[in-house]
Amino acid sequence: MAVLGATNSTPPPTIPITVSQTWTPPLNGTAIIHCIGGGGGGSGFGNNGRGAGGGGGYSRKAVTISTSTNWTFVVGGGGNGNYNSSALAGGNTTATDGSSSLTANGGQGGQGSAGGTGGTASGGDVNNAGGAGGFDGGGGGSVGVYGTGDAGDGGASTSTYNMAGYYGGGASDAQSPFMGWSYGVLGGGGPRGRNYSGYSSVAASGLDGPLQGGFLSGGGGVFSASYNQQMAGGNGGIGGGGGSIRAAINNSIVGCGGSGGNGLIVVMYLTVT
Amino acid sequence: MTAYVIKESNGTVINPAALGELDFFKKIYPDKVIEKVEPLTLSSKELAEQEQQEAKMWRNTELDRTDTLYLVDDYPDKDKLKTYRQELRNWPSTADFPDKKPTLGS
Repeated sequence: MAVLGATNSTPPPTIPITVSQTWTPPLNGTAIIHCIGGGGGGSGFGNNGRGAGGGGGYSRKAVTISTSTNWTFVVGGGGNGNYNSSALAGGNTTATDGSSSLTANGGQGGQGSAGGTGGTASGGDVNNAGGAGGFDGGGGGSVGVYGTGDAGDGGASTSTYNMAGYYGGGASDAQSPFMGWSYGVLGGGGPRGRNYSGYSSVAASGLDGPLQGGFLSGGGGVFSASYNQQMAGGNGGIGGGGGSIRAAINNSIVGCGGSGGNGLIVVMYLTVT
Repeated sequence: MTAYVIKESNGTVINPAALGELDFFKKIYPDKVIEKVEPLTLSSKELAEQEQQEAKMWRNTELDRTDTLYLVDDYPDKDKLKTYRQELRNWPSTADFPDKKPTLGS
């Protein structure tokens, strides 16, 4: 079956960019540039820090690219998680070539009173904000490919020992195999990190814990039921926010929030000339 | 890969975490302030608090572990076990806490 835009049986290349650089296209043609901002870090629970990180923004644009031009790519890193409030924000991801300028801002780090907001985006044909991080041991926000990113679930209730259940980070809305060729559509959304509501006996055995977020998804949060735990929030997947920690015992430092996922740039050739 | 925060000279953050090489960022941001993003760490007060919490975790685990043993009627050296459990309970309010742990049979 013929594939629209394909010039032969070999799909045009898809090139992931994970580190900032000056990039010269290897081929002339048309492409979609995808920019994903870094996810914000999640906060722990000391001095009332318990918000999860926001997801990175998302921007994409169809462009004509040439081997005679250079792009400046800056890839945003994921924000570090924190033991307390005010975890670090994710970095901004930008792609510029003089005529196009895409920006996908990083998600805000988790705060003491709320989850971090999702990163905004601009300069593309499509610009979506990342999902907000959850609160009280909630999960990180996700990257939104088709709309605003999914927010991380809120975690535990403010009622002591009211367990949160299995909520978690924001889920990615992207589908299909991980960065497989899909005619410019970013695919491969991974599963969200699951929230972990822990009792000491389980935590001590090391049998369970918050899950890391999959591709474009937020990390899981933790509700710690007692002093008998040292936990870490789940890290976000690419662009996803880090999960937060909520302890049943006020102002106890039970662990560090998860780190946000690094940002990413993906160049998906549509046609090669 | 190292992350750098890019700032204006007045401290306004342009990018809170850019992944890459320092030389690259110096080239594309020639008039900006570029600093390595350092991991967040606990203050000395918070570290001390965390050490105390970890000690309490160990203490609670020991109390849980010996609780069942104490119910065994013919457990050997039960008096030592009783003493040990009392020392565990008292430990947080003693000068030995959190550096010197009680030991069974001491």
